[in-house]
Order: sequence, then structure tokens, then C-alpha cells
Amino acid sequence: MTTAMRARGLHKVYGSGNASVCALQDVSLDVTGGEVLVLMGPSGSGKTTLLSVLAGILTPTTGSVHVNDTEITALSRRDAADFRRRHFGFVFQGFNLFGALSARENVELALHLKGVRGAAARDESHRLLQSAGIDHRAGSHPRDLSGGEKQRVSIARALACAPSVVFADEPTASLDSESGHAVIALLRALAKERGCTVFIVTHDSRIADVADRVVYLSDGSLAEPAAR
Amino acid sequence: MPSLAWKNLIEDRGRLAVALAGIMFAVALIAIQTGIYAGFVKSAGLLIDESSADIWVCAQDMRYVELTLPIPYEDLDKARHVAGVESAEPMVVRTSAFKGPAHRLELIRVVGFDPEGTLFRPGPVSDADLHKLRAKNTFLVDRANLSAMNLHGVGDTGEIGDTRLRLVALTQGTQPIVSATFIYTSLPNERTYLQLGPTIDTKSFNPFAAFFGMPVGAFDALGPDTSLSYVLIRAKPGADITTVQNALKRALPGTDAYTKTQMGDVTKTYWEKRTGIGFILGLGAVVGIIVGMAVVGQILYTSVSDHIREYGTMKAMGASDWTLHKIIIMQAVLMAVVGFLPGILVSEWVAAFAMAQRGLLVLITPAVALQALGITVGMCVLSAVFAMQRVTRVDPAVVFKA
Repeated sequence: MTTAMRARGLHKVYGSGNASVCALQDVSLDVTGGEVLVLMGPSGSGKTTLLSVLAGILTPTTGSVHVNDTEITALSRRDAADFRRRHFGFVFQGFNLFGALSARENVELALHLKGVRGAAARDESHRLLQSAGIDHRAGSHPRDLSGGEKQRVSIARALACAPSVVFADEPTASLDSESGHAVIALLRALAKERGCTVFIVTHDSRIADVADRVVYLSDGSLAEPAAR
Repeated sequence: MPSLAWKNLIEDRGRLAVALAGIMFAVALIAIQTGIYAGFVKSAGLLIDESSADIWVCAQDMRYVELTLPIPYEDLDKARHVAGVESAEPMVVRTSAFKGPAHRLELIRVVGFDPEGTLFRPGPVSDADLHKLRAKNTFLVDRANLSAMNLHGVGDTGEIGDTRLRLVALTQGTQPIVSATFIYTSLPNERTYLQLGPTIDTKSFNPFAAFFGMPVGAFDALGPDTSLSYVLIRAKPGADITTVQNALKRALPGTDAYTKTQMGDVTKTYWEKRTGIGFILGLGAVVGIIVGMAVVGQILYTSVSDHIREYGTMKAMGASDWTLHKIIIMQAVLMAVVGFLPGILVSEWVAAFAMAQRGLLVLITPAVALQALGITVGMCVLSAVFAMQRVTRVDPAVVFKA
């Protein structure tokens, strides 16, 4: 398997002087293409910071991140955004769906950002919602959906245009145990089906069951990866 | 993306209603102020617009259509013999005071013209009504001026000096906004009202005596000692207006000749400079724009703040700043268009009301409406600047905070 994502010597320091906080310390990580990797660790360990750096949203103080041979840490803000749009999908803890749009329109918006418009976007959004098992609620707005349903829409949106990597930040934190498990199983199944790499940040130890690999972060440093 | 802009907009109906009310107010102010200005400019040149003359001959000192020095009556006859001239008719515009039934004085402009001529007609008035001006001591007035002159309708009388005159018909839409009240009469009557006294026409031609079926020189005739304000000229079909204009200037020393367009421009320019009305009304429109910008700007900023997490999500997903700006601009344009429609309807209603109640011309033409729409769209888009700055500053990392 090829390496989809490679991080080397990542440091991230917030603030300066005495008020500075070191969120990441010399983090190096390889993620294989198609792998479902779960990052676990206590609150404040730097999980979200690492996800943000790997996703090109935050710039590390030092170190580099390569995704499919592109060093995203060297990209300008605009180019990094462009790269994210073409290669990444996101699933958020709070779902982050657009309240004014229906489930279908939320997925269409992601497709629209990736350049898919009109009938093609409608067809593709229907297909994605169907894959996520939520097509029967396509016309519903987020306020009318349960947490599990919202996260299914969120997964359908994240998989728009088959991204290389899907980043999921605490995807089960707002869900009950049953819904959480179903959502993670769905995410894994759809990602495997499409050959997407999945990077999940979570507190939820049950998610470890669906991971190909689990890594632990403590005080900004990676513990030894545990092979499965 | 337009869908997101529109749906974000209508998500909060109450906020949208406030925004639309603000825009409606701004549109109404802009359109009404512009309409008053357009109406003012048009009304300043009403006398000229009511004439079908190609060229106006007048004294070289003429400042605008109501302010000129007299030219000799003989210029009328001379003009008729200039090459390219089809017909020429006299016109006099002078100032006087009118005393209505309640003995209250009103400043008036007496417009003396040839009621049987073809080059001037004071608004929508029938041939039969014009014919009534052939009678001695008669006049027409705009319907909107009745109350100002203390008159109730046709048949009422008033006085100019020692002469009692009778209102024989009404016209409409002929009163300039800033001028004294216009009354229209035949030239012989005009001479009587202004105490110039009758004169004997020594020339062979006297159309006014002929109107009344009288022998030449029998009644209030016009002659060499008569002075005119203008000679209205119609050029022969196919004649080059500029050539005829230059020929008239050469043939009538001491006079100037203006085409209808030039005459209108001179008059409008005079009033614009004299009153500074463009500045005054522009100031009113600017107040409307400022109020509109404040309302729209605040609504857009609040809307963006309420959806900041969604904008952050889009940024995390790779949307460029420009993509987000386009959504906000689209929202601003939609607000402008939706707010414009009731705003322009209110303006049209105000214009109709002003015309019906005061005879005040508020000219909301398609061009004025289009201009107001352009300004409204510009105003709303400009108002969106702060909201756009807000999304530019959004850190996409905000989306990872629960």
C-alpha cells in the first residue's frame, strides 16, 4: 500500500514567550492509502491541533505534511484551501450542516464547491445520500433530523467527489451509543468502498474496534503506534 | 450558491422584513429626490417643451426662457422672409400681479401667444378652448393653480391692474415647480393686461385683428412699437436647422437664435446653477443611501455572525474567500432587488399624490427607476463590505470546536 499522508517533525506552539503553549512536539506519522486510522488521547493532548495541521487548516510551527506527494505545509493559504477542496472531506462533531438547506442541498453545496453543478450534482447527492442510508430524508432540514441522521448526511457530504482523505473530528461525540456505532461502521464501509483514507480523532474507545490502526497522543507527542 | 444566499436570507423572516423596510425607505428617498430633480428640470423647460418650434429667436441677453429682454415686433416679419423658414409666430413672457376674488395678490407670468398658431399650445387643451382666447380679456390657467389664484373654476374672474379678466378654460401639467403662476392668453389680451395700450398696426399683416373678424388696426393690434419676447420658428421640411439658425442670426442683428434643445439646455442649466437644486436633492438622496447602508450593513453583518460556523465549515472544506464573498454579495443583491420593488411602488404613489394634490411634477421615469435600482444594488453591495471582512477573518479551525 502507498503512503497517503506523511507527517514529519511537527511542532505547533500557540502564543509566545511565557504564555506559549506547545500543542505538538515532534510528531511524525505515516498514514497508508485506504487506511482507517483512529487518533485517541485525553482532552488537551493536541488531537484536534494535529488533525487541523494534517488537514492543512493550521500551519505547524515547524515540520512538514505531505499528502499524495504534495507538501501541503508549504502551500499558500489559498492553495491549501484549494487542495482541501479537491482532496479532503470532513465530518464534524457538531455536524456543521447548513441550517437553511435541506439534506440534499447540504450535499449539493459540497459538490458545488468541487465544481459539480446542476443535474450532475442532484444525481450525485442522491447517490451519496442513498449510500449513507438517508435518502428518504433528502428534503428534510437539519433541525428535523436526529443526531444520527445528521451525521449520516455529514458523511455523505464528506464523501462528495471521493476525497483522498476524510478527516472526522469526534464524529460520535454528539450521538448515543447505538447511533455512534452505526455511523462509524458506515463511515468505514463507504471509505473502504471508495478507497478513501480516514483519519478519526476521538475519545470514544469503542471506535477503536473499526480502526485499522490506533495511535495515541499525549501532551502533544505520539505514543508508539499499536498495530492491529 | 444563490440558493444558500437566498435561504440564509429568508431563514429569519423578521430580520428580512426589517432589512426590506430599510431598503424600501432608501429606495423611496432616492427615487423621490431624483424624481423631484427630474421633474424640476423638466418643468423648468415646460414652456419650451409645449412648443413645436424648431428655433427660438430672442434677445442676446436672454438668461433663460422666463428672463429675457424684448425684441422688436418687426423681427417677426423679417424672420418670415429668412430662407428655410416655414412659419414664425410671436410669443411674449412677462411678469405681473393677479388679484383673485379674495383680493389676494399672486405673482404671475403672463404668456401671450397666438392661439390660432401651430407652434405653441399650453398643455392638453382643446382647439375649442384655445378659440375662447379670441375673446377680449380672457385667459387659461393650469388646474393645479386654481387655489393659489383664489379661483374655483372656469368662469371666475380676477384682475390684472385695472383690467378684469375671465378664466375660460383649464389646462394641466404646465406649471413649472419654481416659477410664478403661469397664465396663458392671446397677445392682444396680454398687451391689455400689461397696460401697454393698443397700437395701430402699420404693417399689412396682423393675424390678431383677423382672429376677431375686425379690420386691421381695429383692436389692440401689434405694431412696430410692440415688443416681443420670442419669435418661434418652424423650419421648412428638409431644411438644415443649423443653417436656418445661422441665417436668422445674420438677418436679425441684436438677436440670438437657439434650437429647441439648446433653449431647453440654457433654461435647465440656469435653474440648476441658480438654485443648486441638484446638490440639495442629492443631499436628500445621500441621506437615504446612508440610512439604507446602515440597515443593510447591520443585517448582513448579523446574518454572517449568526452563520459564522457555517462559513467556517465552508472554509475548512476549501471554499475560497471569494466564494464566501459571492454568497454575501448575492444576499445583498437579492435584498436590493426585493426591497426595490415596494420602494419604487411607494415612490410612484407619492409622485401621483404630489401631482394630484399640488400639481407638483415628480418624474419617476423608467430611467429614474433604473438609476434608483443601480444605486440600491450598489448601496447594498457596499454595505456588505463589513460582512465580507468578517468572513475573511474567520479561522476555519473554528469548526473543530464543539
